[in-house]
Amino acid sequence: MGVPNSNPTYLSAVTSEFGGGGSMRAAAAAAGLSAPDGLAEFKGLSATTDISTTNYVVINSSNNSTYSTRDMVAGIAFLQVQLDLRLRRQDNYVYYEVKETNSAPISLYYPVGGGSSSLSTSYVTMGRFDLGGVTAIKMNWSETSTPAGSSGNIIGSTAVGTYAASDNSWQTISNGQSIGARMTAFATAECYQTTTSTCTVTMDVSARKTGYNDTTLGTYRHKLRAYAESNACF
Amino acid sequence: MKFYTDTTYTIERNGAGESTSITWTFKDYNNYEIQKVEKVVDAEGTKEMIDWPVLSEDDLVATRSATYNIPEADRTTLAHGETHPHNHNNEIAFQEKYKKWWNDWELSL
Repeated sequence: MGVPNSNPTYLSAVTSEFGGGGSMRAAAAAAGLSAPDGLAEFKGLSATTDISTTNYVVINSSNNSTYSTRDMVAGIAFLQVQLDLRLRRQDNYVYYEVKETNSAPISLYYPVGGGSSSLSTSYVTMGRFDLGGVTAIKMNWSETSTPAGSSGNIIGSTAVGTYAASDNSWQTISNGQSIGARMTAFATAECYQTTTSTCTVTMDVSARKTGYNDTTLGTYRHKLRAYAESNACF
Repeated sequence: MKFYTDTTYTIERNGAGESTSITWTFKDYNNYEIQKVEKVVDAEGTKEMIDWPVLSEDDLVATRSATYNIPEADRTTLAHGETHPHNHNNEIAFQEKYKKWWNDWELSL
């Protein structure tokens, strides 16, 4: 977990992190520090490393990782577009996976290599942590408002994962278990109205295991669009 | 996390009655409930319970607006009818204009 980044720094904390059998010089050598040695040099240092990760879709940019859209034209129109987002431990990996809840006419994900591929009602892996024995995982989401606003939600759901994901909270899991959330955009229209609801959620997923730094896969961007058009007024 | 935007609009017109600009008002809410609401669903007056969002003004978190200046070629004297019976052809023609204004505004952002 690293040496605390605050004063005072204790030799016991340093040797607990870097070893050295009580010798500050030995601990400093393990930390890659040169003599002369001082406890203050160890503040905030960690002997651990990040968990290895693999990404399969576009992340960390203004571009979408996934995009789904559906239109409805009727006298009275109510429609939803939904996406299931799941973080699942299956040793020796933890997978971040996405699927459509119900099939939409246009539903895409954007691979790292460029272009697009179709999402379906079967899970597609967005990325993964390349490590077994992960003890806790986290989904951290936020909705990005557009100038036109949007209508919808993102809510943890046991219909998606073993446990309902709780926003920005570490959740303990065992092998084969998962946490999940469902994202929804909806639109309504009546009496010749038209309504467009464009909903964008950014999602950070993280994993935790002793001996490693808490590690995130990156920021995924999921966009849903629902369009409702009324062609009558009763 | 729930979010809902209620969108309304007003249209400015010139002396000839042509639409010159449209101003949308966006009211953002941080909660809503989807409830069964009775709606008339056809010209025969059939009523059905339809899923529909229900809002509380207590959940209003922001009110915003945006104005789009309508190019001359896209202006119209048509308007959305406020009373029954509606002129279907006029409503659809106005709707086509409205959709173009909205799409062009979104593309301009």
